[in-house]
Amino acid sequence: MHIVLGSLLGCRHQAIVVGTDMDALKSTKIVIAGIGNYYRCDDGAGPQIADEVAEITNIDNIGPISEPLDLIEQFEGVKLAILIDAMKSGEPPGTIRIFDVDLLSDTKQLTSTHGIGLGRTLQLADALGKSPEKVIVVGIEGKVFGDGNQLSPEVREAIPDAVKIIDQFILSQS
Amino acid sequence: MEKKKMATSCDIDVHGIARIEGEGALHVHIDDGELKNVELEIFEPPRFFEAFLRGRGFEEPPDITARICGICPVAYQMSACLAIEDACSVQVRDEIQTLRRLLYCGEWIQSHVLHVFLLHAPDFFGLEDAVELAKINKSAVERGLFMKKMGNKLMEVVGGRAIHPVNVRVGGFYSAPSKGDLQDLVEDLKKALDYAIWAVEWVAAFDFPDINTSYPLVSLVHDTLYPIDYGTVASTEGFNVSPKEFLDRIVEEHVARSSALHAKLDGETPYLTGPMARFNLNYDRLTPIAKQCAEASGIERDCRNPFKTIIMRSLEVVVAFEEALRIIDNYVAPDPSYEQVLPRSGIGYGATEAPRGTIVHRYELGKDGLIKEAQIVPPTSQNQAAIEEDLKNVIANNMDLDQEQLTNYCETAVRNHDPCISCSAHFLDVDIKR
Repeated sequence: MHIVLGSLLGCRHQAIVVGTDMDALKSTKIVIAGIGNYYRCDDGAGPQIADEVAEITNIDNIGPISEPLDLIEQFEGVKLAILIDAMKSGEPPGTIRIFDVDLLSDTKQLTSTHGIGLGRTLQLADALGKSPEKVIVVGIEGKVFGDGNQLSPEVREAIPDAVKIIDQFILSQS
Repeated sequence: MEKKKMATSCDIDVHGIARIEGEGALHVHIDDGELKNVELEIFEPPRFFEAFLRGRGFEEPPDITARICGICPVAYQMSACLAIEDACSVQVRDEIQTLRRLLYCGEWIQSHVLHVFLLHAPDFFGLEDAVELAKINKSAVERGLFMKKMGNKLMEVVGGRAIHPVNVRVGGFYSAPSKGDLQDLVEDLKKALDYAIWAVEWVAAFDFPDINTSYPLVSLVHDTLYPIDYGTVASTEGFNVSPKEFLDRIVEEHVARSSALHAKLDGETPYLTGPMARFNLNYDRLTPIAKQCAEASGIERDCRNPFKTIIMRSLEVVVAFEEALRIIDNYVAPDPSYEQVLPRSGIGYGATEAPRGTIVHRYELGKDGLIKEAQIVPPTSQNQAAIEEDLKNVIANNMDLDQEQLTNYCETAVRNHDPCISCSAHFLDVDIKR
């Protein structure tokens, strides 16, 4: 399925939901985590959005996550995990996408001494039987990933809408 | 392994070696059955840390240099502290040095366990990675993740956080953990030590190719302890010198294919630092349980097979857990938690053992406390030439393998040494030409 959430929620930034059967989710324990580095410009968007969503929804914020592998332990007993990460997909900066985690399974992410990519980490959690019932990845298209703690104007402007979209999504699960 | 015959002339190019840190490539040229050339290319951009340390305050290197690496920041912090303190003629109290060793144990555990379970072990099962390994041996990966978690916990409790610790300062620590904070970890550390003992037995049963090396091995040594946080620099060639004298003996040179400097002994001899060097030069100083594990594993005490570094790394995980438990048992929080260090004009040297090998820092300070010159010699740039020697050895002995098998073999040979390219970039793709 491919829904443009933004128009339903009155947000200027569109959220493109890819492959997620939201109606199937009847979860109770929900956690959220931002993935990224505050000191790499738009890479810090995920943690910032997670902080803001956790504050208004009161759900557990298990981030920020700089090493995806750390997620596995924190998935214990979790029904739904919402992971927010900056992305580079070719969409205009600030575009918000909600992915079903299965869509990440084909990603060829390098596994290095310094960690394992998010897709492989989720697969590892699954192989270990520690995966939540559902994992949703919210991606926000970044523009600048160099040194610095400032978000690009496009990403900064998209953050309130991203928070609103995720808040609405969480409400739809309860 | 069933061998498939390969054409006598070919090129093997690997343009992105997996399960190593950073970006580099391997190019191999074989002509008419003869190995013509092996080049390990490191194309990560240089990072200029040494240049931008100039003009910074003498208390800044631990925080600045920690940022060189996300997996071994403590190694950078500890070598930086020792070098600055050396320049300022300060020697910290034993209690502070011991707390440094505890923090360093956390880093060794998390780095080594990540490499053994998630990066290196899959090679011995012909598997792509840890996800595939978890499908056939879930319990092994779970144990690995538990051990890694305990390494992270040590770093959090002593260092303030698991990545890029913030509690380290020149002279010691901003604050010392309480005995109770550390005691809370003991039960889980004992469980993790049991897993580490099991891990040695598990990896020792892997099938290892019969490869031996002859280059010199270099590691810190210490009178009584397995070397981690300080020591003098010794080699299998027989020298045992101060960090200053060691830096005088090595020559770092730029080679066109690499943004990492190549370090050689006396400008001509490749050498290796890291687990194989530490194990060979410090077998007698293995901790009691680690020594029992080594004896039970059947590993030779002068083992020079780089494929067996997975056993040595696992033994060092045992060392680190034993040491952590010993230190916690005897722990008395240092009070104050740091020594006052006053700047003075001078040159200082600091050498410690990062998980990948010896790391040496040298700083020249002005009397105003500002850094005039900085030199950082990380393990991977020291190990590059020796890794190329390993590749020549592996290829020369396996010319009858087909392209795919030989390429995989070459990648494993590089991973044996857990190179950290970003740290050295001052690096992996494999390209074999026949």
